[in-house]
Amino acid sequence: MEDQELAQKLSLLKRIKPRQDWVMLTRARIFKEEPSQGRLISPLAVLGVLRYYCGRPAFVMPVLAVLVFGGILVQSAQKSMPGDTLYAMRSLMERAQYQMVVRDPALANLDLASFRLQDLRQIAESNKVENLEPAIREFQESVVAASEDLNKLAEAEPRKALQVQVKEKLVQLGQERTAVEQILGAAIADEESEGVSKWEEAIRKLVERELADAGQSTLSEDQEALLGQIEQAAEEQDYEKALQLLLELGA
Amino acid sequence: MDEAREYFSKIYDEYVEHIYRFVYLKTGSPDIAQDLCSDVFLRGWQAYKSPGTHESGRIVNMRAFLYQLARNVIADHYRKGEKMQFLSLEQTAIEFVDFGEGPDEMAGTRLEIDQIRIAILEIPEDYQNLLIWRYLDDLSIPEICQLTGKSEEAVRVGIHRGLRRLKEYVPEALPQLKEAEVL
Repeated sequence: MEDQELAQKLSLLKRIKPRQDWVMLTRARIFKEEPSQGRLISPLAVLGVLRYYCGRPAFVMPVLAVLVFGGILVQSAQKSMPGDTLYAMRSLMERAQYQMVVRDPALANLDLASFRLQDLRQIAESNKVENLEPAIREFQESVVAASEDLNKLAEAEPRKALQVQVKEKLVQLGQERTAVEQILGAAIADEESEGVSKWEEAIRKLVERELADAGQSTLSEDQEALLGQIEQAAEEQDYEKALQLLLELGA
Repeated sequence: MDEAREYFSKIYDEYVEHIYRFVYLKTGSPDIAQDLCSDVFLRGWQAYKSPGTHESGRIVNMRAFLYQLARNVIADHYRKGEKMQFLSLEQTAIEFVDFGEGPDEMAGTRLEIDQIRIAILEIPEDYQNLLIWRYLDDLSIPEICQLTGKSEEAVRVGIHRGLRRLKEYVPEALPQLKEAEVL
């Protein structure tokens, strides 16, 4: 064998490279900052102070100061990202807000998963490596929660699970996830992870129910052709594609 | 500190793939390579961020510094009594640059890569390093001299001898794979 031929064989080894998600997470690990020493103010403490000062007109300014500070704290929390000190407060506020406004836990959790993806996108675009790992973890947890609630909904109220609103949110979430993965240059959930398997299970069940439902309906020729494509996507286990096509079928 | 961090961050981006590949070729397992490579950069950052290091330019050659750390980390790994694990590319989920080949061609390429990985482990470590730096990292002879502290003549001779030794272990045709065990 000539030296040049051997050199070419050696060059094949250049094709070995590390996983991009490991590269990103290692970088985050290396540059992880120490957590800051900031403390959250307890709401009870704030109430106690207000009760004391409200009966004493001379102390109106301190009361206002507390209210203003509380407002600044809430505002800071709203801008926080996974991994930041005030993020726990933001997460609580979001959940409380959604549980009041959106009755259905499955829909609420789908929205929260979407927020986590938006956080990830923002972190990726601003290269805040210290927030990356917590943000990915938060997203994965939100996906697990959304998948579990969706499965429960599908068992308890199949009609509700098949609503266009649910399907639209699922498709949108899938598209957002793909966009974020393109920015990061890596998958944000391991194929073997609990989040991915529960997610895929939830979508698979939804698609199967829809197919069973569509099978009993009268369809036009175009709709029949579309149904064929949906069945093929389901056979290939590309359930996200099947779901997208189901939305077109319903339109 | 921010300036040091920004600089080391760029160093990380520049060298992570090279150091990972270097460690992987010496250990045979992507999981071990990930652990040891992380260790290299963690130790590197700890050393680099110590007071005065960035400002004084104490670490003149970052590449040499990281490779020396990598060699130390690998040596520590084997000193603990760890054995070489050879996992074929088929057995691992290692990332592999895909040039859009068909499945048969890809299988052939993976076998060739495993073949050369086994062969390179059979030659002395010094020759392994010279060949990795020359043909995988595309370093010039003067750059390799900076890494090794040797003269250009010594590096050229070492590369030539490394290739000659490697030829003994690289068959002309695709081989049957067998596991290699290095104590």
